[in-house]
Amino acid sequence: MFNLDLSFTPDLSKSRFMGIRKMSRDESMMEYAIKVLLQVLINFSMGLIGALFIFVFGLWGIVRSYQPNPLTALAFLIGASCAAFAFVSTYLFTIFGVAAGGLYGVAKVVETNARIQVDPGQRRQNVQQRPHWE
Amino acid sequence: MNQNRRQQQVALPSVTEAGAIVVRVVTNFAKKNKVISSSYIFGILFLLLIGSGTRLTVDQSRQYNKIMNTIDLRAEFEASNRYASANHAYRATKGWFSCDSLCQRNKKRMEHAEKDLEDIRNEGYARMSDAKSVAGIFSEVGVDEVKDSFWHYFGAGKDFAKRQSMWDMM
Repeated sequence: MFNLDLSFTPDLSKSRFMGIRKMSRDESMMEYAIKVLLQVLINFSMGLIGALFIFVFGLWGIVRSYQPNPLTALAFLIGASCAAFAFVSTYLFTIFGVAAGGLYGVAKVVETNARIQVDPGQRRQNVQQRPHWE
Repeated sequence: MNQNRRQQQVALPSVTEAGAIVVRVVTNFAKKNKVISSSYIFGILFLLLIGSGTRLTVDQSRQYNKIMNTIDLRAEFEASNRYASANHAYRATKGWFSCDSLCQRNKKRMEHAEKDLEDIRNEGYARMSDAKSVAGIFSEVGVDEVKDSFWHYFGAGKDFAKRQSMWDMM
């Protein structure tokens, strides 16, 4: 009896992280990571802004099905559109903020390391000139 | 050499300075784009005040359910089945570029079944619309429907972004 073990078959969600774009020869690791991050952020912006527009266009159909008077319909349409805009923009600000914060943190670490490595002789000299009780 | 390396370093702002820069940029943007910033604030207020909609009264709820219960779902289901079988019969007898007398008969039956289904559906939508008009767009029913629609499109937008990122990375 043929028994096929499928327990290690990768599905699409797992393979998503297996085929990450190859790093080119003249690209540093940091440059590559920033490019991938930017691509993801642009995709999220496009997807969510597109979704916002489609939602606003579809909103009129929903509002019309409630047979409201024109003033109420207009008020609800404007309010719901603004609410959707506020939510989507807050979401985008948050993911952009998290990405920028992460990059800032990495840059800070790089800067600190560079400052430590900039003059090893100076550090040695400082150590030698310390008072003996330190 | 060390002097050059020191000069090449770019001094990053401290956390407090970075926070101040962000606040300054946001404030300047809000001052320059008054329509966008006021829409944003109005949207947040709308979400906070009307985020869950007004509750239906007992009378409204009773009337809403009464009208909704008059929608004949069984008739729609049967009409849908009739249309599916008529469509299947038409497709089975249709040639690539021709339609003989049997096919023409099946086509007429299919079109008739399609029209019946459309009429029943339109009747259902009209009754649903009457029931919704009892509740009102600002009621919990209206707001919930709009919220469902928003989450549907929001999820679709996120799925698009994930799918696109996957293809970009490959």
